[in-house]
Amino acid sequence: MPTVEFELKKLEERSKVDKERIIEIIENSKIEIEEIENEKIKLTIPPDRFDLMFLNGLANFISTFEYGEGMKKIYIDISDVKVFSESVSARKYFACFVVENVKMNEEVLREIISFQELLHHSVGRDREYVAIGIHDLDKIKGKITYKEAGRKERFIPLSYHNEMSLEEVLEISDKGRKYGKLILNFEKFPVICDEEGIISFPPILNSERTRLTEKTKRIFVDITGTKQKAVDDTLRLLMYFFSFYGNVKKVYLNNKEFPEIEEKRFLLELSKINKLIGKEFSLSEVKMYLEKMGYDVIAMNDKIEVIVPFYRLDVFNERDVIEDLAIAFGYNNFVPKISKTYSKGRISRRERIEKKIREILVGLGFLEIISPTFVNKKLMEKCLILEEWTKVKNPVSEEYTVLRKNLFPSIMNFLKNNIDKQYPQKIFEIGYAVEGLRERRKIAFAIASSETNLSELISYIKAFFKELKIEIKLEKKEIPFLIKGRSGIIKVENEKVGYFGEVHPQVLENFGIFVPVCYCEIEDKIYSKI
Amino acid sequence: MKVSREEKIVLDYLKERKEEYVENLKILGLSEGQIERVCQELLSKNLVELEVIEKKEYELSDEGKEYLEKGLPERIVLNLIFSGLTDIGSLSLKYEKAEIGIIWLKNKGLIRIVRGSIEVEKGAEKYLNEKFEEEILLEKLRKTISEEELSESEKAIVKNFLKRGIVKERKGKRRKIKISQFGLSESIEVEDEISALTPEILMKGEWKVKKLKEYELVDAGEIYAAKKHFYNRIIEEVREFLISLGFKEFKGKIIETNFWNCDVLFMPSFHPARDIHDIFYIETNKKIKVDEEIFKKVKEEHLKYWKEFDEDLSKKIILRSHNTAISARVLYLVSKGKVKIPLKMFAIDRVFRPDTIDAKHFIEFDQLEGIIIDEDLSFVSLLGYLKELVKLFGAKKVKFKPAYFPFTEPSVEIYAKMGNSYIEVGGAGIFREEVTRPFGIEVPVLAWGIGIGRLVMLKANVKDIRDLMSQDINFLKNK
Repeated sequence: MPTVEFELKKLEERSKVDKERIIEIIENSKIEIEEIENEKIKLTIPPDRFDLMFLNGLANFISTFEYGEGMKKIYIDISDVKVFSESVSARKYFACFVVENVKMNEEVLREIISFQELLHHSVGRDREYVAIGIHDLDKIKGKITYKEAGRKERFIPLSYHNEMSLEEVLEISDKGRKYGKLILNFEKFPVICDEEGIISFPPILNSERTRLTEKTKRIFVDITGTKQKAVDDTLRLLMYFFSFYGNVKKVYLNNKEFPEIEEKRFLLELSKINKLIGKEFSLSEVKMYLEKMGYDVIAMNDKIEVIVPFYRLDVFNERDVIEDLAIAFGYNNFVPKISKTYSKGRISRRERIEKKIREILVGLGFLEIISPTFVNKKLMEKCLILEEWTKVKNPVSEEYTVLRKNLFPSIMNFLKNNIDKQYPQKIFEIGYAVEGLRERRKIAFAIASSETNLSELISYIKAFFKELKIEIKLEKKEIPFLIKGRSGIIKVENEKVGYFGEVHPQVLENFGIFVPVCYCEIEDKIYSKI
Repeated sequence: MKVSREEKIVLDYLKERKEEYVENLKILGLSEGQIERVCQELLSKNLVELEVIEKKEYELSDEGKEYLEKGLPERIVLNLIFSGLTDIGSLSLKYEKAEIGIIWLKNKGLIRIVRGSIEVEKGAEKYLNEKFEEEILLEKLRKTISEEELSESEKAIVKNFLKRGIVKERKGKRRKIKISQFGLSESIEVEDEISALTPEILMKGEWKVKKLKEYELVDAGEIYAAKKHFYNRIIEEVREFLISLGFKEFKGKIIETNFWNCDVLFMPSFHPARDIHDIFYIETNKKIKVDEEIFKKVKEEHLKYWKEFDEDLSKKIILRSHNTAISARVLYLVSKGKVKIPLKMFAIDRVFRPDTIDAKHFIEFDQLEGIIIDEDLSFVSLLGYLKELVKLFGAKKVKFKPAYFPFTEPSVEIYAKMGNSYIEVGGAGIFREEVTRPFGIEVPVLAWGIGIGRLVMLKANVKDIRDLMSQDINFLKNK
């Protein structure tokens, strides 16, 4: 989620609300305050409210909330700019608009560029979903076309002095090397041209010719991308953003007015609102609170019609409006009250069984441990386990790459970490294990002591199953990391439910453990018998 | 000469090794008490010699511990410089120990100071990705280190650390036990002295003629009760509390699909809202089957609002990243008539997230999840349940804050008052209609997720989340 930093003084200036109240309003909104320091406020913006990600948007929210006068009205006229778009396979979606009578200065220029970057990173997923080009419209000649171009076509990219082919831009410029991968697989590249040539090579660079300056009076904004919703969201956010600096206007795109921004309206019933919230609001209260949140509200009889500002990307249906009502009222002003819902409590079968098993093992003198489900290749090798276990594609550390199929590596690792502690050590663990794509619960217990041996282990196994009232048979069997002839399997009704034995001295040596260790592991198959 | 059985074990070991630190004799399976007794006996028989070695040990001071957690001043200052802060005045405003950091960076030749402003020397940049030697050593000093474990260059740094008050020196004594010449040449037998009474001795009356060995009262080694892990003991209490409130416990799957973990919960395929947390992907080409009918309905909801839906992504196999995936599966059971409503459900189970590992984050942890499905539920009743749940933390006061989760609307973050400050304990909300509609559920579903690990850490007084899976047997015995 994006973090942004604003000067509190500027927020005060633009919202006409004082600092203490600004902080209070933000605290009771979805925005999270990370830090207030040196008169600057650092915020995390939730992914559904990117309209609060820039200074004017946030200030507008705060002043509307405080003064409840309804959002600044935005009228969108039409300009005479003509744009044509052809089909472009590398970036299918295209949108654009213009801004006239721009009140430009150094500060505005800085705000434009920083919001553009924020959008590239957030909605744009680093320009893959969306890339934005912002141009001085007065430097564009004639009609504008979005189309495909050959790799050899040339233009002067932003901040360069000489012409380059599109191919060269990808090789030579920083941005080309960084974002070239997004279009390299396509034979032809996306470009935006005017009558004199290329003005933009999305998602890489604009042209030097149409560079934005402090003298710019009219702006042309192009948005290209691979995801329809992302392009549409960006369009709305940018139109809102630029409405604070000039007159945002539509264009003629393929001879039709563009963009067509449909108005979202919802008709809400007061009784339904009050039922979902659980409090009796009056019609005028609902109207007042929703106006604080920037909606246009018409109240009639027992119904409320709301008109949603076009830049509120998060309002899908009535429920989103109701949340805003609750936010405006203040979550902490409600009187919490639990429902009368009748339901009988019950522990899950698995937890009931594992609780019992835990109690038996504690009764037998074992201390419970908990280890991560993740292990690693090195640990497995020390355990003489050479088979492949389930891995994750994106581990965060070499120590945790593989999901354990049994608990043996976890138990041995624990014993290794405690060789300087008092013996005997008797430990057990109940935890997840993964066999292929199937998850299992496994129970393991181990004894590390200079005195321990197979017959002691068998006594414990027998006592364990006796407590569970399960009849078992033990059978000799060779297990890779246990000593041959001192290991075996446990069977219940002729089905294998576990194995046991003395740990192989090679394993002990690998871990630097100098006392014998006995190990037993039992599968969750026995749960069906408990 | 005659010796006891334990004495023989130690002597045999020393014949091999010649010498050993006394505390290391534990690996022979002897308790501390036994070791003391054996050493005294062997010494009195001139079979061994004891040497007391003075050694220096180093451990972190409180300041050092603070640096270990927050970073050395030179690291913090270097990062600030690279973030664009180069004026000494503003550095000091931003960070109180800036001056210390600046001095050390200057001594290292990484920066120079020109008229109150800092300029970076060549070669400083590599330390953005590389640790200083000091940082590596600081990490090592997490546990006490003795002088002999240090390399020459590390010794120099420790000297520096001493000056800076980052480490404290402690003089300790260690005892080394050596076999004596006499011990090597003397033939040893296990003696006849009665150390333990046996039925045989009692029957034959041998105790009347032989010597009964004397015990020192301090000889007893420590023993501990076997017990359940402190984590599970607290979770059991939480479970009982929820059952007493009428909640039924459910289980889901840790090997999940994106479909149940994300898509059913209306997390869009291509939108920043998908990234509320990261997800572990299982290395496999296999697919797990999902109910096609539900799949279609969920896809429709996505297309309606998010315009796109990535089927391939949806079917990918992952590790469950939150227990809301269990709630999603419970909604499915409700739609199939296998679970009846009204329902109060909870789950406490493991989730996985590829986070950077530190004192507050680990890649595996448990979450407490719950949903309530009933006719007359409202946002106010959600707040009511949350207030009740926060009692688990022993908190008297609770605060709510608006929040964003793709699957709930309204959404709320829960803060519990612990001591003098509020800590975030979880998130909650009413499931969106886009989440419940595919399952044909038309009544409100209240949902919440609570970081149960944090609760356990508070209750058990554990500061580092990794200690919830502690590898130290003594730590577990004492908890």
